[in-house]
Amino acid sequence: MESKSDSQLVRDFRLGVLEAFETLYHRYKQPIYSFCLRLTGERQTAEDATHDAFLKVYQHIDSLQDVTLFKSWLYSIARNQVYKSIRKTKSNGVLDEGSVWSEETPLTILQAEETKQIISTSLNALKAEYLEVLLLKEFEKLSYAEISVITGDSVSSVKSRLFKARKALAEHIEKFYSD
Amino acid sequence: MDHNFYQELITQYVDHELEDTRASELFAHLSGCDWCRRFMKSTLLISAHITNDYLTEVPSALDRRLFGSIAKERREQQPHRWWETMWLIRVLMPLPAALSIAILIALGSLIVSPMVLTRDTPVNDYNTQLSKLPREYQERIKAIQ
Repeated sequence: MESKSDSQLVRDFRLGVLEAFETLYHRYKQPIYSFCLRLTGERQTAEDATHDAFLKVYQHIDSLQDVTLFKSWLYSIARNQVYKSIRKTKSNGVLDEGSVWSEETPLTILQAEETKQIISTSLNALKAEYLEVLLLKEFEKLSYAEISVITGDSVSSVKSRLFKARKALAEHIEKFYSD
Repeated sequence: MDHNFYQELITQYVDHELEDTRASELFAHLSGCDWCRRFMKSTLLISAHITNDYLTEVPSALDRRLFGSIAKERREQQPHRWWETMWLIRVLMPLPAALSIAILIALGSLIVSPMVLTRDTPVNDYNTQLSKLPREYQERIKAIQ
């Protein structure tokens, strides 16, 4: 079961093989949880979003039309669960193209000494809609087209958000080193 | 010089989505632009950081929680098969009543039967009294009967 592709596992699961779902879950639970955790910044919220995402996969596997797109579909479900929880807690679900930073400005955390810490805190300060494209690109190595399927945006919008996020982060790091 | 344009190309280059013709144009620019070189360095630094520190340990409770929810889901999905429970209801409903009646009959029998068995019947009583009489009287009475 471990060696099977996502598409094969989805087909098996549709035929009622619960073990196929378990394999998919164990294959993706860590990246999905990490993705949710990076976006929310809270362990409990990330756990809830991961749980709800996989439960939705279990309930609605038949609605996935193209089985080769399972990974993108899973990420889009996880992303929606994260946004639900963000809307609940922050009312921050609406994309604001004008600003890249969330309310907690990185300028307040300029005292951090390590590069790693600076990058971590800068990433955490990014708004979710910018952070998500960065994570999907950098970690999952998804193409612009695949990310656009997950986020529901156009490829050019994904490209633009990635550029804005990187530019904001680079300027922040640059500023830190020049001070 | 449009640094934004070249920095967008840097982003696409780091993402492996830049066309080769554009890549040569970008590197020609980078050779003479310190500002864009620093941008590229920061972008690569961020990329390396996310890749290295991304994965986080999943809470052990998540497995149990998810498969608990799925088990509940499966139970709820099973159709209610009324015919399987009807026979049980039909059997169980009159069962206590029948059992009560059976107990009452048994108790009644236990109470009543010793009384019936020990009490002398009129015939027994008559014979007993007769046997107490002298033999002569007994024979006379039998002769009358």
